[in-house]
Amino acid sequence: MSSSTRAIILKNYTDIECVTASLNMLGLNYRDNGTNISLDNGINLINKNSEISISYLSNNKAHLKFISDFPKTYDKILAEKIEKMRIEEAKLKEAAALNQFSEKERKEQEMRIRLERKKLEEIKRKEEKELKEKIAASVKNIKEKAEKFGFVVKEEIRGKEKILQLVRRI
Amino acid sequence: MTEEKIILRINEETGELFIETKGILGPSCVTTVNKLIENSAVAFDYEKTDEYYMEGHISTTTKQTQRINI
Repeated sequence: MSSSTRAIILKNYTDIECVTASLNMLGLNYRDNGTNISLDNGINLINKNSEISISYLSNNKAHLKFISDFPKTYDKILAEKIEKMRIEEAKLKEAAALNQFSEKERKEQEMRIRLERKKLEEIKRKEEKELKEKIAASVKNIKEKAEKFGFVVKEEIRGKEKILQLVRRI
Repeated sequence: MTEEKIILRINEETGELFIETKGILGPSCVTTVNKLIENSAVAFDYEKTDEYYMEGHISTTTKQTQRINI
């Protein structure tokens, strides 16, 4: 083996609360002016049309560490928030069964939690769909470049992994 | 004739890539990978092996600092 490289195809992030919670979890200081979140390490998270993208320097170690850590943290927090809503819904049903709420109170709370959960699930679905499209476009781009560089490309799918094997003889 | 091989494993759920090169000598293994994934993915970690430090066929290019907005 000559070298190994870890990389990531980045997506845009939609839930601002999950973004800031991720920054807090990663212990990063930031200033949010509504359209731009500036991190002390020089990274900018640009909020445009409710989609947050990362602006970073390609040869800055702290920036690349962020690129490595942030997506996983964000996805984890988003999944946890959805799970928390599901638990709250179940707890509410239990409490309602024990007549701890009036019917009106129960319905109000149930509606609030359900709407929040559905909103988060929709965000997750949208982000997953966009990432899939980005991955497909990236794979196409990589294959085209590889062929241009003289590689023969073989593609296979193994579970959730797409494997591209590029071979050239020189 | 020698064989150069690059294997890219792409996690379709997370967008993470693990890329291995085999038979590419010298720093050109990193350069080739960078060229392949440029504008598609962000490389954040490299591990070099003995072959990396052997003389390569292709001269390396210097990558300039660039602010990237994804």
